[in-house]
Amino acid sequence: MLAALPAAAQAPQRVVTLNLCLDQMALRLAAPGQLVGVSYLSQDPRLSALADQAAALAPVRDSFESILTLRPDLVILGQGSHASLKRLLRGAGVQVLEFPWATSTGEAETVIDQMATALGREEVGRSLIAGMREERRRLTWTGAPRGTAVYLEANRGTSGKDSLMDELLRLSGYRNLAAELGIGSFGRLSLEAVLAGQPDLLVFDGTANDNPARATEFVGHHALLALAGKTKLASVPTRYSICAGPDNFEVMRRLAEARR
Amino acid sequence: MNRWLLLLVAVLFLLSLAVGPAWWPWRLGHEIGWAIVWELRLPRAALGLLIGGVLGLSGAVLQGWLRNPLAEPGVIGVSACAGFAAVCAFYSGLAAAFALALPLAGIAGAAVAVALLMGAVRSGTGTVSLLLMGVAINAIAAALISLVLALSPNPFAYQEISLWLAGSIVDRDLHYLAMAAPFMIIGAAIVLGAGRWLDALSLGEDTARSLGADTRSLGLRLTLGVGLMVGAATSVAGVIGFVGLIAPHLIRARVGFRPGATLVPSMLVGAALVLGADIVVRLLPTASELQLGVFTSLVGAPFLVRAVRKAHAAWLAT
Repeated sequence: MLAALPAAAQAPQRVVTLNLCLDQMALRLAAPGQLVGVSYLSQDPRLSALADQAAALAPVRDSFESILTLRPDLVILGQGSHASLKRLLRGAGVQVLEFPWATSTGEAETVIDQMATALGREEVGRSLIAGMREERRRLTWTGAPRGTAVYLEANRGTSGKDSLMDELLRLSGYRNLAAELGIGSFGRLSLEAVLAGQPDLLVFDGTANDNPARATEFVGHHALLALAGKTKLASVPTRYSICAGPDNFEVMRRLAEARR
Repeated sequence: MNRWLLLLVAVLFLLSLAVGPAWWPWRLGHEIGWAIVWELRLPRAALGLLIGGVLGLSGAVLQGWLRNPLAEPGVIGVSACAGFAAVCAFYSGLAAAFALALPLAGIAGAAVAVALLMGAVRSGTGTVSLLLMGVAINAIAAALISLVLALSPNPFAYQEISLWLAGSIVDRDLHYLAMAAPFMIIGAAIVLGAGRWLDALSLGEDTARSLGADTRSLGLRLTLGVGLMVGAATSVAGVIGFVGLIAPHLIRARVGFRPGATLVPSMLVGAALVLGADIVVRLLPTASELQLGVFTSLVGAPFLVRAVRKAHAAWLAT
């Protein structure tokens, strides 16, 4: 207990995170009052499963000045972006921590572990990771293969090989049609390829059409009706599938509940 | 020549119905085969035919009317203006409340751009001022589109609009076809009927008037026709550039450089170009399909450079 004290004393007191997915982790890990700002995207309930919690914090845009006004002692950002912002922050004496983009639940656990250490919240991190492992074990499909699945997101986008959704589909007992068609982690798929593939499961965000956008019109395309009767549908709100992390198990629960 | 072009367009239309990732879709069962051909490939082929046709025709009309072989809906900003208006209709929710708002907005945007350009030409400063006007219209439309996107509550707006502006006719349904086709056909009929006056107009407005043309009502007619065609096409397919530039160039020499005579062949060549390009993007071995507008620009932009070089002295002097 005493040995842990110096680390706790060094733990950052005012933390800002600037990346939707890192926000989600920090919101779960940080001590009350430790997190003072998260990216404005985290307040959007369509993208963020913790929008309510995020709404209590300052919404941060990626500008140096708006970050400085929060007087942070640690800023957490994604790797490979905001190069000039990071330079400015370091120049102003603010500690900057970068994490890679996690594309699997396993990678998310690694990031959570490291972030928990940086925040001086190892205990919370350990229990979060243990909870994720338990959920993954419980939700992993162990029966006979369930056939093929395809994920359709905005702009006819799909998730292919080595993507988070690919992992979630595989864990749920499905083969990913997009990966088998040679599509990398992000790609676009025509509806004809979807129909021709005759997937057993179609995964999409059924709530996406609430705001007008061409991106999500395909959900209403007549041609998809031809799959009715054969293909099961699973509606997965984007907020559960956009980031690797504890929310992904909500995706797996919905995949398991999919009905024709 | 028209007969051969018509045959080419017919062959490409049928090919467009036959080509796709599923190839022979009936092997997947009656219902899915029907859905693929009727709900996906037919709207795509029909839109390719109509949009290609009206873009080729608009290019020929604008080139004859503005007396400028570089005039093209994409280059001089007509498509961009139509795109801006369509984006407004879409993100304001107007298009969701009232389906025809989308093509109508596109048409209004296109007509405004044509009217602005005509004003630049009337003031009589030639090629350079027309192209500069086009640059300005393109820039304003792009800026306004960015503004609308910044105000849109949809988090996917930026990605989708960059994809949409790249131009595509993939996965449009019959509803889009039914919505846009009448406007495109009416627009084409309006300008085709004015073909014989286009020859007179290509000699200058004063000369045209002396030959008995009512240049004022003719101008309105052409503005309306091009607006209907480009506006409806853009509101469905986004910006498919350079078709209107290439089509008239390919046939101009063969019809003796008379603007009126370029109209019908340009329309057919435009339809063939878009149908052909749309088949090629389906056959290219890219994991995700290349956007149609990206493909036509990749092919068309070098054509523009060549056209500029070839005729440099001839009309920069005018």
